[in-house]
Amino acid sequence: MDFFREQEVARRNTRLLTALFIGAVALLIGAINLFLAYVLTSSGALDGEYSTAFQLGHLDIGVTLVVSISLIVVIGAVVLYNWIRFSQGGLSVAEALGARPAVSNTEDPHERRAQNIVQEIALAANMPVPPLYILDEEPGINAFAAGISPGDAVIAITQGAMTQLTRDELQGVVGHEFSHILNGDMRLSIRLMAMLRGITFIGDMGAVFMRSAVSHRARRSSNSSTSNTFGLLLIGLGLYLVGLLGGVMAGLIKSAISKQKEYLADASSVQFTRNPNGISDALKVIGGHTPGTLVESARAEEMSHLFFGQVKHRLWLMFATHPPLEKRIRRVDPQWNGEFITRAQNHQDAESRSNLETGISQAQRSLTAALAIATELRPEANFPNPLEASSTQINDKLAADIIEDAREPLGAMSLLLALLWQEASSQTQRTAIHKSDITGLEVLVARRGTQLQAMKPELRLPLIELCLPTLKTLSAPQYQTFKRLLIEVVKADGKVDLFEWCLYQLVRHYLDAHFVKRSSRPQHAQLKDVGSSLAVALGTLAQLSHGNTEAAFQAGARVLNLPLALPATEAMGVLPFGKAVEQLANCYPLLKVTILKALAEVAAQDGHLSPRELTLIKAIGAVMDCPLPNQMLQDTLQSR
Amino acid sequence: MSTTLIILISTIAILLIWGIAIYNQLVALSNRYQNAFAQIEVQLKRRYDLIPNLVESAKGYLSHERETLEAVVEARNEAASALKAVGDSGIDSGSIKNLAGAESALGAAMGKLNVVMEAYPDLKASENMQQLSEELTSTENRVAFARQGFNDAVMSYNTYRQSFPNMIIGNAFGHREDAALLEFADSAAIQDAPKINFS
Repeated sequence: MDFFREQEVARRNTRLLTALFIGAVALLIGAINLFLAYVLTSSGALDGEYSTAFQLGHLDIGVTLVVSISLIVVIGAVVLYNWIRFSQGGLSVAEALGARPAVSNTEDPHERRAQNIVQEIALAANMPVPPLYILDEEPGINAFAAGISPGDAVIAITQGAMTQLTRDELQGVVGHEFSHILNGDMRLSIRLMAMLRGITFIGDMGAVFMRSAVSHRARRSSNSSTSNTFGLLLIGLGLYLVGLLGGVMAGLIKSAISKQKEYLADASSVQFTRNPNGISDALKVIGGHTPGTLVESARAEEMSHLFFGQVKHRLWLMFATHPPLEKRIRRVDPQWNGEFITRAQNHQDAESRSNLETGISQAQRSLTAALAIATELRPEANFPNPLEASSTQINDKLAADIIEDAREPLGAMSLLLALLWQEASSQTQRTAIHKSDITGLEVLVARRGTQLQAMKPELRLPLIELCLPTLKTLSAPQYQTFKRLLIEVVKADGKVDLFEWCLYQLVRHYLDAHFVKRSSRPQHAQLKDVGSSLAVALGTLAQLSHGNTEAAFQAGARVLNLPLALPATEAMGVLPFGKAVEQLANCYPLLKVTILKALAEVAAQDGHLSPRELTLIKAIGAVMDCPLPNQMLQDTLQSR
Repeated sequence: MSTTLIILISTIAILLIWGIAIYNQLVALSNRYQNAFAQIEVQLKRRYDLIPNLVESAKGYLSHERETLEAVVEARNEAASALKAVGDSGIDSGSIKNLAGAESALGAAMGKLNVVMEAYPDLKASENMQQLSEELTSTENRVAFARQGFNDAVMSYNTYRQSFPNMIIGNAFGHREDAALLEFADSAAIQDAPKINFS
């Protein structure tokens, strides 16, 4: 599965979508104009200025033009508004659907389990953990992912999915949603949603007109202005009918685009979880579950293409946003015997309540294991038990404590600061933390600081990614304080090393998007536009490797197919490196793949990938908004 | 006719969109502070769960201080039910005030217990006791931090809600009241409460 190829396809689909949308709007405008001409001519509302008999030829150019332009303006405004609103991130979509954020350190075993699963898959996909939202009081089994980039993505699941599915099945469903994020489907979905809103808005407006006309009439029925209200009523009716037509078109567009993506996401889910039974069983349970995948939320219809399964009844197959369940199951599990799994409602409830305690600790263990697995990425590794391997340095109890801390804002802050802890300059760091005046932070950091020294270096990045979503629950002033503190602690020893840079960039990249609005769009379409930045990035990485710096650098340059010269050592500090990576982040998605491949090539030139190199590459990937699933890195290494 | 109609349509559309945007922002802000409260809730609950353990461990040593222990348990139960009431009825100023009051009472009771415990060196030296006190301290810090976050979130909601023209939309669609800040009347006492000095 090539995620970058899929992102490119998604981008192309966006263009198709735009074309379809323009076609639909043109049709709608035509329909409205015809209707308006009919109303104006037949009702004679304008003092016989128009001939009373309706003929197509009598369409007044001026009226047509004004109506068309105003319609385009209105539709444009609605699309723009929704575009901006949905572009604010998955959060606004989730809230529009009435989902609530899951409490990050909840005691509800189901909620805890769901959060653990999201964290595990995020580790497997090597992206920051997206916040989990829950659609309470939705008995159907369904889920969705929303958001533009991995930094502002959210995952939401219904109450039904949370309680009715087993751990493996839920994992499959969550994996499906993650692949939507990685495939770049969400940008497409959001555009789709904004445009469809523009089309259906006409119908909504018609309904408003009709209602106001009716109430107007009712209030002053004896008034002379009845013809005016009648006109309003007629216009409303027309808009409403045209809106219905728009709805049909919107349904067709949606259906055309989203069906194919579902098969793809099912397949990717298997790739994440390495367990085809998870997703296929989840689909089978849905088949045997009475509410199925239906979602009651009022706005679910317009966002139906975001979901895991069909949101409304499949009355017209033509409009279905998802392929039929049977087909989806057969694609994942060709040996399926055609029987769905029926599960007694709440059976899961009783079971989990009886062993709530073990459930939580089990989840914690599996998360600890996932943490280790997420980092186990050396071709020569012959599957050592990750838990045993790490227990020599950091024991299970401590790992569980650390994960527990990462779920809670103060704990997550202390963990990030503790990762920056240096015995040599601990006094300066302590003073900085003390001065920040955050109750209890100093003690926590000092304790964790020494403990984390013993942690394997490759566990650092997953730990950072685990902490980031929790920090989204900070208030804006708290975040500003934390960011200032982070800079002070980084600078405590008077210099900035690469790991410190990575950590700060990751925090800034994923959290600034949440607290400060910002947007960036690709600017560089060709590698040679960013040649100097590439040289700095490759050169810095080449210096880290133990082999020949020049040889490593040229290995990377060959992948890029560019004649690059190794920059002078003094031109490759942390600062220029940071600037270079930020420029690279503005490249088009397909270029980013090549760049990351070149970076991997440089790092692997001496025949092995050190944890420092790995962390750096992953961090660069994160800053470039281009999360590298572990699977992919592995492939790059092996294809050498 | 047609220009008036167009102006009418566009004005309605713009006003509608503007109104919706304000309303959505209100919803987002109110969700944010409710989520921030959930953070406090979890930590407070943790604290209330730890206190019975503390009392249980101290019982053996403090057989002559029954009254102090009972006062702590009672205050703890009061605070726990106040917290539950906030969870059930939603975050309004009445229930928040109750919770703050109960928290202050619990703080005072814990303070008294600390003073009493000073007189029992055996108790202070017990490993169990040390662990519990560490847990309590840590939880207390988390509460303080989460409370700060909650108050920030409440403030930004209130500010947004009170500004013009947001207040018109807010008043019309169910965002009529300011959210209450969670201020513990005697915050000095609460800071001291779980700190059991073993030195």
